[in-house]
Amino acid sequence: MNTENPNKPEGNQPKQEGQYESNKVTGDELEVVIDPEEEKKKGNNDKKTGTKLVDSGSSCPPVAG
Amino acid sequence: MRLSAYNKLVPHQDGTILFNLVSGALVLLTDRTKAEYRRLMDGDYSNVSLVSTLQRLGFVVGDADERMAMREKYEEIVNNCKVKNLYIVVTDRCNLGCHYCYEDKTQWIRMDERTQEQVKKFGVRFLTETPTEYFGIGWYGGEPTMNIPAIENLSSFFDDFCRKHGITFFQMMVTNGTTFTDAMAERLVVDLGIRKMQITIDGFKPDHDRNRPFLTSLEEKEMSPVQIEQRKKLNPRFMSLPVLGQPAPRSKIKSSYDVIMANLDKLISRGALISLRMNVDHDSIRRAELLLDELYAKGYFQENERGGVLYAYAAPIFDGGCGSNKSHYKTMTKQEFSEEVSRIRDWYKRHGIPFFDHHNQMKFTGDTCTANKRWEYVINPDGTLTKCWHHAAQSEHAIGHVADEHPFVDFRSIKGNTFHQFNPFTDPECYNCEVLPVCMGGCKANNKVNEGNKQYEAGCTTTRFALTQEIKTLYELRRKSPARI
Repeated sequence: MNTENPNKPEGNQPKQEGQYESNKVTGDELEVVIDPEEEKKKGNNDKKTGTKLVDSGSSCPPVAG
Repeated sequence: MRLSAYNKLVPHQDGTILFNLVSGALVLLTDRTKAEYRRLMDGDYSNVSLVSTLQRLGFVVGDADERMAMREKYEEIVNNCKVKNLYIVVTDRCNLGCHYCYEDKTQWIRMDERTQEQVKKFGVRFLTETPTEYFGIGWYGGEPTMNIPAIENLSSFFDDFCRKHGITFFQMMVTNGTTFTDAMAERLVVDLGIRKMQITIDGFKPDHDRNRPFLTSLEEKEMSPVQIEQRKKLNPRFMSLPVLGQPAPRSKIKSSYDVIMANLDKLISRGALISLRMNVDHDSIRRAELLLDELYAKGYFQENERGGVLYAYAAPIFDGGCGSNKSHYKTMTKQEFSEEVSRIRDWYKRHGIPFFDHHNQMKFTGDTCTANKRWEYVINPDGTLTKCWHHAAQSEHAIGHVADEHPFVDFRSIKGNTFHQFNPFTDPECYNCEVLPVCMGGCKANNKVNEGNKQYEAGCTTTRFALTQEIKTLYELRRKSPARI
């Protein structure tokens, strides 16, 4: 059985009219690592814990001298 | 429609990371998807499916200036009158003689009863000037536990006031952790409800004790003229804590590290939430794991039955540029810190504990610090008002007094030292900076506005100097433990 992707570009063959359309990447193919909407939905309990424990002033720098 | 100005492409061994600093979205581009992204960069938006997904994630935006939308949110937070905070410096006295302390402590006073009454009146006006939903107090010093009567008096008053007026009341304290007795811990954590405490330890014992000696244990040749004068006033009667009658550590105790470690248990066992800030330099960060090991062995990272728990994070000691009292520090650049902090991150990973640092906030929130916020003040022991913790008890930075007839005049209109008027959206350098969404102008007290146009590194956020590294770190953290951040 041929499992090769029929849309796979073939080497250096010149592109034919309309060929690009069939090769298009869809939004679903994107490898999303952080999705802000998903973050919001799951409410991330660990983040809540972190917010509880890391102070608002944690980024204020101690400055020598 | 166009690509966000805050998209950042970062090469990685897994592919190319695409990150957006406004939404915080992160995707990994393969060769195929990267080629398609390049078409967008050339202005070809014909791939409807891809554009739609990238738009939802914030990588593709409308034609309006993104910075205008961010500015609106920023202004909303700056002027939010429903959420109010006061940082009350109940004394500028301290029992430690930390070499890098930025506080002048020249007043060397405790807030007296008359000033406490003025603070109450000021607070009532502060909370009723506009409808208030949330009120927070941060107890600060000097060492705040050296004026327990003021904390008891004001905490009880505002707790009662907030209960009667339906206002959510929250308290936290920044303390050096050296003065706690069992009775004091019970009073503060259990009776007064000050559960959240920030305690600073400068790494493992030798590093900490070198940086943070007891004032009473210093040799005179090690002390500055101001410290010598301060120590003269640290007589046994002064060092005692009047309410609880427990003596504070005396000069025979050399190690403040040992005292703090012993005191942590008194607090955590009573349900305190300890935020342990590890101030580290280039050397001490390499030994900070030994401190973490000690804390871990005591079980502090595990929440106990009363809700007590500890979390430790690293904060770098930067070079402030003044050249004084810093000879033994090997200060880090922000780039170096961003790389070195991986030691701490790895320790947490090895121990299966979630790690939190500023990477959790790698997106636009519009939030800024006390310096800019309309409804946040620092109240000093003499009742003067300042706009930054760094200016605690420094009257030259005062913008008013709690007893003023109109204390809530918009401080942004005050002339003179104008760091609190700093607006990242009107400053050309910030406005055009790629990390504006996650920085919001950084530390206002250390930035160039305050320092005669001299750009101190301490002013900008770490991200400005290590953006590529931090995006890689964020990606790798998510990949290794996707549910953990």
